[in-house]
Amino acid sequence: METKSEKLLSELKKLANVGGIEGSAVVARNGLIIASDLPRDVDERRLGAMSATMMGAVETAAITLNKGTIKRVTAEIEKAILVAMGAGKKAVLVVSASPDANLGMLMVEMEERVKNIMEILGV
Amino acid sequence: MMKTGIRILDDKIGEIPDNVAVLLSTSPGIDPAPFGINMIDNALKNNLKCVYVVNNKPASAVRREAKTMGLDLSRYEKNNSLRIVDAFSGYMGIHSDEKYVVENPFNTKNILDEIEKIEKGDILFVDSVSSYIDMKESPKELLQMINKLKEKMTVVALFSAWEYEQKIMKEIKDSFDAVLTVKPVEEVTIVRQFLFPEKIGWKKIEKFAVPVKVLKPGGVKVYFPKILVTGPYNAGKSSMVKALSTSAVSVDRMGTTVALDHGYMDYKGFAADLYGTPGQEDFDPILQYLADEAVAVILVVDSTKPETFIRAKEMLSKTKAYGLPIVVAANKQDMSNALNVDAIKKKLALPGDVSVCPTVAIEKKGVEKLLDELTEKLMG
Repeated sequence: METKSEKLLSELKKLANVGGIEGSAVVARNGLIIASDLPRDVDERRLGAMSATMMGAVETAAITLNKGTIKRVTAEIEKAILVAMGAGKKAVLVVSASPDANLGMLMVEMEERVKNIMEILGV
Repeated sequence: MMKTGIRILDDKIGEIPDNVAVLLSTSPGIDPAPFGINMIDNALKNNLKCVYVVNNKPASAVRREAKTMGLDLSRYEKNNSLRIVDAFSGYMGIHSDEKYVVENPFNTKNILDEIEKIEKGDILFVDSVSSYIDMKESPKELLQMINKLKEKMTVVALFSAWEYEQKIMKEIKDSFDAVLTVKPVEEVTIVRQFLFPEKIGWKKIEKFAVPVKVLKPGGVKVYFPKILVTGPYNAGKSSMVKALSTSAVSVDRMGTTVALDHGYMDYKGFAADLYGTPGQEDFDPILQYLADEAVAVILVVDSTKPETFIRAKEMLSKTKAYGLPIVVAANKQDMSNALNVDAIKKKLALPGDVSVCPTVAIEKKGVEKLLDELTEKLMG
């Protein structure tokens, strides 16, 4: 029987097949890593902590604006695009892609994975 | 005599005596090899000679795994204190360039012969019992071999506890003097790994579990995924995270933390990730995320500003810290107007047994004492 972590990892592995995606992780809203498929040189625990904080801060900003909930946070970085998408109440899907990745495709793929991730996590 | 190299476990089970056989069993999904490699590294560091028989991966994979854990085995191989015996290539029917090769790993006599060719070692590692069962169906002959070999050396056997028949499981566990088990424990969101000594033949012990993690690099550590560092504005939380960490980053503007300090601590075999919160009230909405699922709290207060203690207590309740082990860092003790520890303890009036440690975070003073208090509290 596959464990939860293995199931999550196989969802992340599917993302690895999408053009331009360089790494991904399922991070708890509290910053702890639930599952990750990131390049070896990336400090996953730090990335997790920071992505969750980023998500939390933007969510607080959104509440302050009074304009509803957030769908995702996209950061355009010199050599990457970092996207964080909520996956239920407890988790966030974080993806790092190359700057020339097809963003539309990436979002569609992420939304698909988020559905499955939520199901696996039971939220 | 050897130790596992895992703090707390070593303290409680003592040294592993000579001429015993230890089974290191892990739940499916957890690779036992890193635990074995960590133990070898610890034995080698203590000048013991080790023999590692591997039947489920090429010898090069063992070396590679050690490398990702930040452990360098090559120098021990060079001076012959570590010998890796390849019992995998023979099983796969492929050529091996290794110095020590078992041609037919199905035959324990063949394994035994190869081990006996080597000058006597202190510890024999067998990786793994489960792969042997997968080849042979019954562990009987391998267990007999281990029992015979332990008369000459300490044996540590690795085992992935797949769903084998009860009878086989019992047969295996009964034939070892000690059984150490690593299991996943599902928490609120994450899964942590705990090591339980299931059976220790040489010492009476009470039941306990040690939280462990294989860090790459770093090896097997007693690991806590989140220790919260919180406290009022300008108390020195970021300096504290930096002082406690082997590596740390801060998201700050003009010296004030606006999001999170993140540090990684490695102290006397304990490892933890530190989450430092902002102190200003404006950031309180994100406190709940940062604090969620923390296992302990370091409350940093400015010893010269007792008026901020109310805020300190408010932060403890906002981060839902009550009930967790709490250690107070009475910071800025180098200031002439700093209150002493007893006065701070009295003024804070925290419930329960809370230790207050004097610190000067920017000079890293008092942090070791603080960490000792914290680790002691964490392990109860």
